[in-house]
Amino acid sequence: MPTDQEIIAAMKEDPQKGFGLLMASYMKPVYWHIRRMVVAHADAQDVMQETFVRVFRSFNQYKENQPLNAWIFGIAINEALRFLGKRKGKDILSLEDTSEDLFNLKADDYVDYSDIEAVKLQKAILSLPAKQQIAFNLRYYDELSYDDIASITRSTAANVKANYHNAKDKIVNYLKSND
Amino acid sequence: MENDLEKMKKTMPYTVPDGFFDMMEEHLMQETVAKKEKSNLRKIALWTGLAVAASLALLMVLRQGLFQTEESSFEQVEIAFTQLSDTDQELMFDYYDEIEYLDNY
Repeated sequence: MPTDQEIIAAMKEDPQKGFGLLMASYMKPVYWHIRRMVVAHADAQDVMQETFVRVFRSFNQYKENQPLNAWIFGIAINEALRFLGKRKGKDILSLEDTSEDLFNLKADDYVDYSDIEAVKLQKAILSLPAKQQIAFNLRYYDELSYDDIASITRSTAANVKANYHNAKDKIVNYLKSND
Repeated sequence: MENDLEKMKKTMPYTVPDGFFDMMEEHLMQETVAKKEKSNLRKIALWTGLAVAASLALLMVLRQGLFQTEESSFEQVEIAFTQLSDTDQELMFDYYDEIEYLDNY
């Protein structure tokens, strides 16, 4: 897998090669992050497309003092929040809002309903406010550091840590109460 | 149900269609890099078209000034256009298309 520095250098010298490297590194983690937020595959596909088109078109605005993963995930999260907001009749979903009422796993073909434990965990995650969902997903699934997550969410590491632990407690309680 | 998250497997119930990521990579290349290249080519065509149009306009002014013909200005444009090479005529059409394209934004 190419390093972020290699991707950045390639994007400047040869955008076709650079974008290929960028997608090789980030397409899957970005897709799965979006998918956990918007649930349906078709919606995740649309949001991912918007994300990568935006990444490509605005790459000249990327500042190298920010980690590349933070910049890309930041765009992806913003696009996902914008998508979820539209479904609620807003421009963008607030970080304090939840998307639980939009959760409808039954409507999607690409969900393995036989994995009951995994379905329940996703429902628990989706019951959280967006800011806790984001902190939890980036820490639990992507195993990013609190500093990296803080950079993505434009917050502080302490704040992210608090959000993650709150999220974890709520998820455990949700799972217990829905046993 | 094991409620200790650290012990739970980090699997998700979500799946994707076969070949989805390869298909998306190809699609995104078309939506970004290929479109940008096409747009650059259109820009070159536009500027070439503008250069040809400017030259043509200059030629018309000079011709009118020097010979004072009786022809209407539209006839003069028509005559001048027929005297252009096929490539230059094509560029003029491209230029016209480009203006129409830009007017839609």
